Amino acid sequence: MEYIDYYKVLGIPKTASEKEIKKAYRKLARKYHPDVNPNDKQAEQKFKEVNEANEVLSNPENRKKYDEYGKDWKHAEEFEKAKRSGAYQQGGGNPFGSGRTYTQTNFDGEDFSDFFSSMFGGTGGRGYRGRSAAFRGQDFNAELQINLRDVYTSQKQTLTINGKNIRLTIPAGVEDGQTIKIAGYGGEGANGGPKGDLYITFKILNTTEFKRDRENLYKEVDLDLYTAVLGGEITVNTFDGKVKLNVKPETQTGDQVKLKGKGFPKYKQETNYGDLFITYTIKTPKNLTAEQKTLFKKLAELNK
Amino acid sequence: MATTLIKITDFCNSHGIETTYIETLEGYGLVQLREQEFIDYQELPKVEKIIRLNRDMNINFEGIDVILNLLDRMESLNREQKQLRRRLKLYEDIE
Repeated sequence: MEYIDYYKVLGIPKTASEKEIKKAYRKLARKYHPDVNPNDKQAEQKFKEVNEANEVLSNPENRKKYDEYGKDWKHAEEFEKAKRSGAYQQGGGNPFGSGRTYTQTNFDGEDFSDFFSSMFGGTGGRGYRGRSAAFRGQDFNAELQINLRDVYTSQKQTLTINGKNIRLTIPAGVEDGQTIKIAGYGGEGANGGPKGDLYITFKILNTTEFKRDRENLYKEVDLDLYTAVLGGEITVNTFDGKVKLNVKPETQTGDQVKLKGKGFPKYKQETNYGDLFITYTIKTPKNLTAEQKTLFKKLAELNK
Repeated sequence: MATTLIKITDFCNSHGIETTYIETLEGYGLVQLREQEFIDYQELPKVEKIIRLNRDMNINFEGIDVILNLLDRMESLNREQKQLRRRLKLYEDIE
């Protein structure tokens, strides 16, 4: 738990008047308000900090307590109260097994730091309400990390969110950074209002030798000089297995060949595949023997 | 797909606002109503965002219209930027 300098958060001196506090708070809250900073986690965090600072400094009682004990806050044990537990529980462990992690964030703008909770308890909630809604339930946001190999085919998964199991199919061909909406799996509405939605953003980890752009895959392949000059057959790893490939004579570095249908499945058109593009890099031979050198010299002579 | 319609009176009661508030929003072209009595379920996030911008930050409806347009533009720029980054990744190792 760290000490938080609320004056610094609002960018005001310790001697600031109530009016100055209000002004600084309003200006910062407008800047970082979640509604004008969509999908910006940093702004969301700032918004919470600014709200918390205002919660303390705009209330004369809280401000007095903070000024008195703030610097020695560790000794202010009497203010230690039951800490508010996190609003979200992941529950059910990691639903995706090893290699995948799953995180959730919420947007309600009203959870407080441990420092605040220990000094003032978990109460509060005046000021800007951020994303809290009075009718429709809150939207939940989750990030799902998944390996590129796992989105090559569609997969059924069960997520546990707030103790509720959600069965969902992760469609093959999902892209890095793509967000899908699962309607009705957000927070409860108020006064009979509808539930919010769940948004899952995919973060796709690519540790393969392929680069991906939507449904197309790209890969560089080294060619030895002789195959490049004379042509020949090579074996290439595609995403789902090896293929034999004919190399044309006099292939150049940077030449590209397209392997039709050897790319990634198209999103929501699983039976349709993109292409695999192979770009050649020609490796000049090293550590030539005396005989090879002589032969290359002959070639060079012929070229004159 | 069937759309769920929300009764404006239910919505307004829950938010503690008058139904005229929603009518004003319609007058500004900020929300579309169905048969003058209902709001489309899909419109709720936007309407609630408008209410927050108006109440939390004292932004008037003209200002909110401008903000929503700018946010739309920001979103399409973000999408474009994401696409460009993905293409750039083919040539450079960027994170």
